[in-house]
Amino acid sequence: MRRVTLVLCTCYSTLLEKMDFEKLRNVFSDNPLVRRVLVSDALCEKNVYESLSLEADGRIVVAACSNRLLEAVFKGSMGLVEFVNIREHCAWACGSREEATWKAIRLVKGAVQKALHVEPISTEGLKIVKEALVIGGGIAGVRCALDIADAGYRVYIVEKEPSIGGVMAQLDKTFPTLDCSICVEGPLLSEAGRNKNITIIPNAEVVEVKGKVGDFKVRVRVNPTYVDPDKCNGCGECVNVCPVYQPNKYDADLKPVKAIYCPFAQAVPLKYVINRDYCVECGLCMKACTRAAINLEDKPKSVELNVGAIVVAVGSDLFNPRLKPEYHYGEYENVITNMEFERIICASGPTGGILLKRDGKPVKKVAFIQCVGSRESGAGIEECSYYCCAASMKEARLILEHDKEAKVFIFYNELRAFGKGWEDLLYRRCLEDGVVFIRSRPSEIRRAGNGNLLIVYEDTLTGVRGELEVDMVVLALGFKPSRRMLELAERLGVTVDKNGFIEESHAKMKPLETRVRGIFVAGTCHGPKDIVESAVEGSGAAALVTGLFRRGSLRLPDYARVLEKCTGCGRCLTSCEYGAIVREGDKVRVLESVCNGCGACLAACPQEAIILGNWGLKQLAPMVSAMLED
Amino acid sequence: MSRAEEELRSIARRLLDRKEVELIVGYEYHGGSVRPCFVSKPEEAGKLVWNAECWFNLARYLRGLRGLRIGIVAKGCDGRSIVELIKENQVDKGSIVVIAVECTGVLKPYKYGSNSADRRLADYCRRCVSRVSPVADYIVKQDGQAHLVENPVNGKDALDWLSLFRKCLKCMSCIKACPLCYCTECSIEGFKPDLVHRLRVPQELFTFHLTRALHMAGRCVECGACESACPVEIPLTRLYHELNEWFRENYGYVPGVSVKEAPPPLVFKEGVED
Repeated sequence: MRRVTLVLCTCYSTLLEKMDFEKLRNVFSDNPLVRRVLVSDALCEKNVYESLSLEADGRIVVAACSNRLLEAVFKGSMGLVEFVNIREHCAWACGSREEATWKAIRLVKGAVQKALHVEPISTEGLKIVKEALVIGGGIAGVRCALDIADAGYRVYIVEKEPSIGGVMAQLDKTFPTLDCSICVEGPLLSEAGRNKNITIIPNAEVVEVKGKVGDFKVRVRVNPTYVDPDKCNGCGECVNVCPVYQPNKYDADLKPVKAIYCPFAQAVPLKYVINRDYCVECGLCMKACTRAAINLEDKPKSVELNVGAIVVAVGSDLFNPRLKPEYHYGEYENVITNMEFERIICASGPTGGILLKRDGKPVKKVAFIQCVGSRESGAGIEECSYYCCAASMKEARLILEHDKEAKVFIFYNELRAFGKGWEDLLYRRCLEDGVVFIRSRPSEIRRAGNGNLLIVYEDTLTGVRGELEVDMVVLALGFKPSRRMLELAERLGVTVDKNGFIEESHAKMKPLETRVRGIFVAGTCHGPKDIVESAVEGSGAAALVTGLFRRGSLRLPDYARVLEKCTGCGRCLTSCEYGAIVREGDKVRVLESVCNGCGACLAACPQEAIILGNWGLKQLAPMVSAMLED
Repeated sequence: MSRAEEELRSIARRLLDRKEVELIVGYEYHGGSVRPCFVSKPEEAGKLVWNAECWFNLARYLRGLRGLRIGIVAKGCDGRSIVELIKENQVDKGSIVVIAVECTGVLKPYKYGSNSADRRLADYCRRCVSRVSPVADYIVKQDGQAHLVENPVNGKDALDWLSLFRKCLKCMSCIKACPLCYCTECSIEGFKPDLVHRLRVPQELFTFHLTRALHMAGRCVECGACESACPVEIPLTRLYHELNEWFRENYGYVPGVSVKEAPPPLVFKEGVED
């Protein structure tokens, strides 16, 4: 016959006056289901557990304080230990000694019954595949991949563009120190390209994710580039003969490149690709290529990866300025976005670093409009774009570095110079250099008679309405998550917040973990961010991934299982706070890596078609009966 | 033969003729009373009937006939149970054709031993909220026929539920007749000896009925199938009605009215208004 060992704890004798331990001990010594009763003074003390000499495989009822404190002590025999909280639930809560004793006896009676009916839970850990996948090769993804690779684990970077680098590679200078952006990022990219532990898969996207933490099966589609990357050595002979031009996405579509191209000089991998939307299939490049690397019949390839953890670092799109018709972007040619500005002011850009209007004349008066598509309830998002105050002040300083005579105006709502060195290196320098700050959200941009632009605004500090004539207007765009990212989030099973950014598990305690265990998030797909913050998140996610890999095996909380008799009525779907239950055909399915084992679905199911560890009717019915018996 | 019956037969004949449905679930005469029937040939459509004896809720069959294109004759309350079944993902709305018959109330079914002359309107019909099904592909009107409701207000007299439950035989007829009791393994049918014993244990009758009542709360459409099927005439619909009233008063929710409206026990979050 199964019997249990009862362990009582007096909590350093403090419970003795609140509760009749003698009575407790007598009641259960006489109980045929209890093998023996032990009384301890402080179970939580380090060596007490060993001195009790409990049976390793026995069933134990511990009547002490909260199991949150004691579970760690009894971890070795988890599953066969039942906890009763006679301190907080009885001694501290009840009005009299008799009441507390009465309640403790009832609860322990129930626990004894439950302990008799529990089954051992398998404690076998999950094996972890010690390879990681980083989706997105921007600064967050590259930083993350490098950190994981440095710890000695294999990393795959799946990048949708022909080269890793992301937005940072496109920028001219970085704030607040005004150092060259690609000069900082370039070495990092080539380091990632050289690293033996990193495999870069460019021109690719994740199409399917299956499995759970430690063992994800990922299917990646590699789009055809029509150039064999193993054969291409980046000599550039093909470019010389190609007759077709196309706008270069890297240069914000401002500078032409050939249809066979390499996006930028520091690209990693430095391989040429063909854009088939523009290619006329003349075949000249095939003749020019000395290594026969070009194959116009190239087909999409499918790559299967088996990884233990995934970091989502796909970044975010910028707000589409055409959705704000009052600024006439795309209509007035000298209204440009800040990304276009970065390319124009960059020495490798379309104008060789000279700030010119579209008609080729130099720019003398520039205005920046802040918060385009952020901090609004209309077409954009309600959140601050995080970067654009600093970026516009940096760009203002760049203009003045190029041309001391230029006049720069910044239309701001609140100037948020909160980062390290931003106050001094950006805001104060801008004031010293004569940048004019106007607190206003301009209502409209009009065209002046001489072809210049006229900004209509109201200064909200003085209440004065005004019009300002400038040569060029730069719109500081906010972030806006792309549809592509939402689709990816759906494929991964992670949730997005109301703005469409990937949602973290807990805003403070688990900022880089998503609701799916083993999938982490870094960079601007997680929310508006600057370079520093993105890199920090990349490193942070890498630390979580390597921590997971170092552990070797993983013990997940027990998850709910759906039985065959499920009718698919869907009552469990709404009961699950984690969204771990999904419909599958006529029935439902539990996502193992999302389920936290809370048991809410068990109560919602009308026919006990969901089971979870030792919380079935088999355990609970005798437990409740024992508590209620006289 | 009433005009409504005639119209019902012609609709059924047309549906079967054009192969829009494979099977029609309706009622037919049998031994002086009415019983459910299944019609699959157009020439058989003539045996369909419609009158105040058609108390049985035919939605009960829909789940078992999944996979077929079904035409179903539905009273107001039958239609409401179809709505609940659609909501709970048990019936595909696209595969059924609902022939809604305007209902004027059904009679209390004849029970063995009761006085056959004493036929009156069923109690639950006096609380009827929809005479026509909320989902309908065809509507058969009952022109000129007055609703049989004689006394729509049913007194809120307290019932002695304990003594009523004591009459229960645990025959499970209420479960078998109910269109919304479709669990593969019913928790109160006694397959698990832990909760309710399979046999009629008098102490457990209360648990049995209250568990069932809780499972019906916010779902029961008060079609009266259970009550009519009950051999000892326990007014079960009245019990579920009391629960439904509570939902209506507190959440303004009436089950079976709209496919889009989710039941409050599933969607209610503490501290969130509306």
